[in-house]
Amino acid sequence: MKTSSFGTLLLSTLLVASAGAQKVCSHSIISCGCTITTRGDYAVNADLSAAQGLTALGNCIDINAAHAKLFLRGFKLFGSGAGSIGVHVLPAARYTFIEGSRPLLTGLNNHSVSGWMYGIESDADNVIIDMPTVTGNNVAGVFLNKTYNNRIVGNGAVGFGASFNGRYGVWIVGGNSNQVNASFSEYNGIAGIYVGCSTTGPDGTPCSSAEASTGNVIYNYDSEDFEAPMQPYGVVLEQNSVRNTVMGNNSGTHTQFDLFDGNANCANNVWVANSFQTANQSCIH
Amino acid sequence: MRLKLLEFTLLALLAVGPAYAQKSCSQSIVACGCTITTAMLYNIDVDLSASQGLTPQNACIDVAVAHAKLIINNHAITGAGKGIGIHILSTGTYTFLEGGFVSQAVSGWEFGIESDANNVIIAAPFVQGNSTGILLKQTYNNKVSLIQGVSIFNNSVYGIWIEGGNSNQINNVDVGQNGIAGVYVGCSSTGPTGSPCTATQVSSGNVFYDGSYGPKPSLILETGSTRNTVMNNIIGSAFDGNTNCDKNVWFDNVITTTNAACIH
Repeated sequence: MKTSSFGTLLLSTLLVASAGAQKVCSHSIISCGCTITTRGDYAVNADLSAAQGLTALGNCIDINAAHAKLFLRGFKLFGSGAGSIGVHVLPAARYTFIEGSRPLLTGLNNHSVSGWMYGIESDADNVIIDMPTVTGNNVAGVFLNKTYNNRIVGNGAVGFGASFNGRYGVWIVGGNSNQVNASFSEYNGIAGIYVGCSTTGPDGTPCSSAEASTGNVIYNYDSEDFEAPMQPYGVVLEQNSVRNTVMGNNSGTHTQFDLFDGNANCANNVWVANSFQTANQSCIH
Repeated sequence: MRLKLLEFTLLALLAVGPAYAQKSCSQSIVACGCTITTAMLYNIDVDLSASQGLTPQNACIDVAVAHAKLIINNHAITGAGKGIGIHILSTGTYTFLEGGFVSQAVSGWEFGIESDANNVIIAAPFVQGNSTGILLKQTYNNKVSLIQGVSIFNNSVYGIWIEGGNSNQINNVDVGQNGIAGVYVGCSSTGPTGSPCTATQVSSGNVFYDGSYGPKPSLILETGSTRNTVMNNIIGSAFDGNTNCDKNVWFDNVITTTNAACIH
């Protein structure tokens, strides 16, 4: 009996250890399942897949150190749906820079982060995400989770932007002073860019006042569909998301509204110099 | 004699008075020579010219308050060779400057746009025909970008000049045909052969990505400017004044000519 108990204990310990095991990324990353734990430069040098294994947190690449730079270099990161994330920037990873945009040097232009719950998730402050194509992810292409001063940019009309994702192209939850510009979103399930807590769009449960997103700036971004099925919404500021600025964007041909503000008279949100066809309030310009 | 002294003093005061008078901008700006002093949204609604008058600090528009938003609305801002088109003073933190979709140019100034403030966003219009297009002067976390089809070109010294700035980001810019360099990070007004920044002035932590710089001398990191990142750009001529690039990172750029093997 004692031997059996010891065996069970040993097995449990091994299982726990295995689940918690962290494989540290080398500077040349050629498979999913590693964690960046030291500042420095890291380059993806092969297509990556969830089938190669995941990190202890269940993702392809976790970043858990400040000031790391990750170059995706035009390679693909394939997920298998479910609850995993392509690249997860953990709260400790402030000042991360993800370079995913147009891979000039490699000449690869069909790069994408696809098939994950979130293509890229940031939980850290002061992160720059130079966005690759983030398509076909279950929930959102890029997810900012309570971040400050993150910057999501793309490279204009190159690639597919944050498109064809289950719900949102870019989703900002409880974030402050983040900026989204110079890219585009189309054919997402609910909205190109969504600022708020609801997983089902502006009809769902909004953030509480304490969780609300403020001070975010969305500018020079396109959200436009050209054929069915079109996105219901272009840019949405959910109820309680206030003091945000939406300026100089191009949004059109959505089935509900190109631009939507869930606050009475837009509260303190600023919508100016946008090009659009439909909006839910006259305070949107 | 006393009367003459009084007259002289009065005349002197009158002469000095207008030079220091500050005219606050209205939310609809229709002439050069005003200062933004309230955190609100401002629209430029006509083409502006230096001949309409300048601010006490010699600019067309000064931004002196935090959290203001200024929309250029595709209007020209034309100088007469001196002064600054739009000057974001050090108190103008979190200013947002929006150029517009198909913008006219900010041209004919010593500096087309100058930022001395932290956390500023410049979605720039065309900036051409100035001595320097955009100057970031000892700024932290400024962001400069362009929409497609807009460029910073034909400025006689620099397209963009970062002088003693930290953690600024320049992306999605098209910078070409400027006199000395498209982008210059350093303190010399005459390029890398001039006097570099002192150790306390140097620029670090700036990030340049997804830009097009060329074909003239295009992107220069001056001696002492370190810990900058230059990534995924098209660069006609790249220059790093530091031995073995020091801690600057040059990665995945498409470059025609370089001065150092550490530039990639």
